[in-house]
Amino acid sequence: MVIYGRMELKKHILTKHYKILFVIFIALWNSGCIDLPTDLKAPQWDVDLNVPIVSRSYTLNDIIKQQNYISISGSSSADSIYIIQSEKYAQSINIADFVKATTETSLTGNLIPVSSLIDTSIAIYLPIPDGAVLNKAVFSSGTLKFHVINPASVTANITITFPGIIKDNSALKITMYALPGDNGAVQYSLAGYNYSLPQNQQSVNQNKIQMIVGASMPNGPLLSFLDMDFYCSDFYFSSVTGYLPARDLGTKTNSFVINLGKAEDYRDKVSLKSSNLNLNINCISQNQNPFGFELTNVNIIGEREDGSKIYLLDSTGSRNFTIKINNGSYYYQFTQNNSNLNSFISFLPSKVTLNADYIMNPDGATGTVAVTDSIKFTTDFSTSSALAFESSMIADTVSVNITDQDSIKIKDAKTAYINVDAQNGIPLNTTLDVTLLDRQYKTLFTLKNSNSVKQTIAIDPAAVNSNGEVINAANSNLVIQLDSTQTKMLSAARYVAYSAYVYTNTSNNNPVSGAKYVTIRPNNTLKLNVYGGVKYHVNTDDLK
Amino acid sequence: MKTTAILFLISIVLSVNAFAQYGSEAVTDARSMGMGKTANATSQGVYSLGINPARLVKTEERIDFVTALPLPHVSVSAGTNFITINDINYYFDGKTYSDNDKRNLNSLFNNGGLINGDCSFTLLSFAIRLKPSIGAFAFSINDVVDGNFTVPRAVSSVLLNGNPENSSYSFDDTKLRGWWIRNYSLSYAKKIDEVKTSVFDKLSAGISIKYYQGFAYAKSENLNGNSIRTGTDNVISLNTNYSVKTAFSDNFHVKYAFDTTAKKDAEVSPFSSPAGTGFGIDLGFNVTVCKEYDVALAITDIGGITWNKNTALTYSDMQYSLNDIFNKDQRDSLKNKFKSVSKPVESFSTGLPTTLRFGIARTFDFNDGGSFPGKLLVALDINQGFNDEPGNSTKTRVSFGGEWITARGVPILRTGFSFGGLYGFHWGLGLGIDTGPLEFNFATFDLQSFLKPNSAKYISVALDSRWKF
Repeated sequence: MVIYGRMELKKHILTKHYKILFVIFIALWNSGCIDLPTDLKAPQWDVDLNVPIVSRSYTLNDIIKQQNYISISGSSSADSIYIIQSEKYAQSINIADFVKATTETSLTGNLIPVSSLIDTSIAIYLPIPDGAVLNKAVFSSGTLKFHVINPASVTANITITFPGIIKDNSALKITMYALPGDNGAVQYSLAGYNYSLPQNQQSVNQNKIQMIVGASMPNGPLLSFLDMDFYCSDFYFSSVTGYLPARDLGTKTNSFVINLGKAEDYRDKVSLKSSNLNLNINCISQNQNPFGFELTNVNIIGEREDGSKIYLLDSTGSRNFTIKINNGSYYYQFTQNNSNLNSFISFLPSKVTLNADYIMNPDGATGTVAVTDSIKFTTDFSTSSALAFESSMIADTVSVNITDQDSIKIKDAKTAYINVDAQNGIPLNTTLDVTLLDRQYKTLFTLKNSNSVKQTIAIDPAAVNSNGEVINAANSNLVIQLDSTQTKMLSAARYVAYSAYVYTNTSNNNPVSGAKYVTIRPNNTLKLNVYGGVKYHVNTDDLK
Repeated sequence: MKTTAILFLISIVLSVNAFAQYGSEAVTDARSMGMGKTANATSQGVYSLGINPARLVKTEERIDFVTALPLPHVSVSAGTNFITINDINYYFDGKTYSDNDKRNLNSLFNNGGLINGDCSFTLLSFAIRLKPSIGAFAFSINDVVDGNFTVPRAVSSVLLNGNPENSSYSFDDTKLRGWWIRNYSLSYAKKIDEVKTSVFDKLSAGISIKYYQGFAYAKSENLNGNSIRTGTDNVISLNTNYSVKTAFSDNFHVKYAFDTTAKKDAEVSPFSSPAGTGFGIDLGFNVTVCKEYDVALAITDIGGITWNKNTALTYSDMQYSLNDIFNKDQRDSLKNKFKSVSKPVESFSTGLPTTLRFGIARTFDFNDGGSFPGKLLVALDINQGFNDEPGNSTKTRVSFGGEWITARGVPILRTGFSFGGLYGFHWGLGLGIDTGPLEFNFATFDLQSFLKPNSAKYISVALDSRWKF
């Protein structure tokens, strides 16, 4: 046994305590070896990302692109309505056939006195062909012919002056000789001559050409007579003021090609409730007092490329219209009240043909006409956005701009959803079929509404009253949920094939198609609240 | 400005900690750190500067001073209050988080994601004790670089869970605090033997007058209503309401957004021109009660700093709602609204990390008898900060610790525990070697980081030396 002194005892205790503490300290220290991270690796996890996508109200005015053939009529929300206005289609009919008088007229057996003592003259009036009455005229062509028999034994000098036929401010004067006992003849062209009714010509002779026939026979008998015949024919005028007889120009056809564009898709689907077709007919003339004209047996025919036709009918069901034009212009508006126009426009023809018989000056009036004058037809049609749709499909396949890099990121999405709350103030049903396709156009999957038993993606139409006016917006809720398989397939999507069906509800207020007439107004509003989310697999390595 | 400021903030957040006595939280000397940052009634000589100047006289040596030799006063402390090395190894090994993993990782941020660091350095500290009738004088120069950043809990929640419908996350617990300051301190302490009762004895009082220079300052303020909310139909609402005050030394050549003049690269040096100046006072008393207990009471760093160089207020006060990501106006608005705006400010003042310090200590001397050798010093501290300036906290910190001095030449053992405050529980452990004129101290404030390093959130090691004659 060791016996310690007091100080030794303390040192011993101290040493002992230190040893114990040291051992405890080392033991504790050794119990925790530090494991410093040397190879940190980015973690991965799933996170829910939810975003609002769209919260907006769209009026139809916002949705429908500005197009020059769509306008809005009315300013208040109650009466404003779309007007779909066609282009103005124009065609012209030349009326040169009217500006002529061609049937030969004659004046024969006229005895012209001739004396060796004095020069004699006599006024003779030659009827104008076709009974035309000329106040003024410009000849393009025309023929005058004279035949004379001189029974005397000496030569006769004959001068025929036409006071109304003028060139270079001088009246036409024709000089001819008739040899003794001979038959003489002269033919003269009126090309380049103007006509102006001589002031002294009596009104009863206005349909005739005045001729002053003079003759002389020096060294001849005291009195003798020449036997003369006068003819005129084939008057073709550049212009005429006066009277030209009624003339049937025959049947003429004008066609207007209508560019329907995408509207073709709605053939046999749409029924219009209100439409107008404006027909303007004008005589295009530099003159103030054109001749009237009449169109008979007018047929207005709508045709499609496949040859199917529809006739515009009047209120009695007749396809033959008669149109009479006085004062150089005519306007007529076809509506559903005076025709079957709604059906005609709803037919959506690609060509409209107008056939008619043209009769010039049917009333035998006087006027002015030039060979350059024409009859111009201008037509256009318009319809308002009061209509009925049977189910009309618009289908297309469009590419999706997903890059390979995007695909990698999309693959990290596990599930996704889109919720659509629609408050539809537009009275149209819309149903969508959307299918995603891969590079080879193979179907990946079709989007479905998991909030509907039918799983259709449909937006219900606004409720309308019996006049087709919107009374209440309709609420629709769509939830498109993509499961993990679909989300993965989404990364392979390169195309979207969609079919959109647009239609109005069925009703008996449209006896033609059975679809309900609705009035679509620019202020019809579609409120959309779209939001969605994705469960995304965060892989921070992908973010590098 | 942004690059420089970010570098500055990163540097202060990740900085190391050296010798200092400052604020209710900041790291103290190695001796105090070993006792769980218990110092108020146990510090002596130059170690009492910044804690309780009255205790300048509580040493038998006439002179003591601290220099960089033979050991500089260095302590290293860095860490967070939310994640351990074990956590890092677990959560960053490339695994795919299960729902449970996400829940557990998120829960680490329940008390906020505080990342802190502070660095202080005593360029010189010198104390001399004259005749008792005159008292003791001390002079010291201390630099403090302190900063912390609280990552808001919402960050982890948003990253891990996303933004479920009808969820709301607040970012108001974001905090940024940091500065670099230097004080020139002149201290005086005296024993007041005239005040003596049967209960109170050995009263001493001390005062330190400090001239402060500030070189950099950044602090977030007025965080109120900063949030991201995903409401019904996934409508996302974002709100910001915060401001950050900053000031920088001319030498840093910080360029703010509103600053149109060209700036050179930063020139950070120990003798940069100050961005602000101020004064502070430490007052302290120490008394022996019932001849056994040292009771100390001090209030330190009464005063403030006025910052007037390169001062700016960066702020944002915006409300934003997104319900349509295809709406260009909304998208543009998002970009424009959440730009922080900086504006110059004339000057602003900040308080010093004013702290009330109370401590009580008793020394048990076993040399006079008994089987336990040496002296055992036990002490209790209560530190109460009056503001949240860097290094300080309004959360009360309580610590107790002990020091066992056995015999000359035998290492001195120290340990202690700290509770409350910004950083919660800590267990300190230290060793001291007293060779007479020279004293060496080694400590850690985070013994758990040595015993279970993988579970540690903080790591700290301190060492220093003090000359005394």
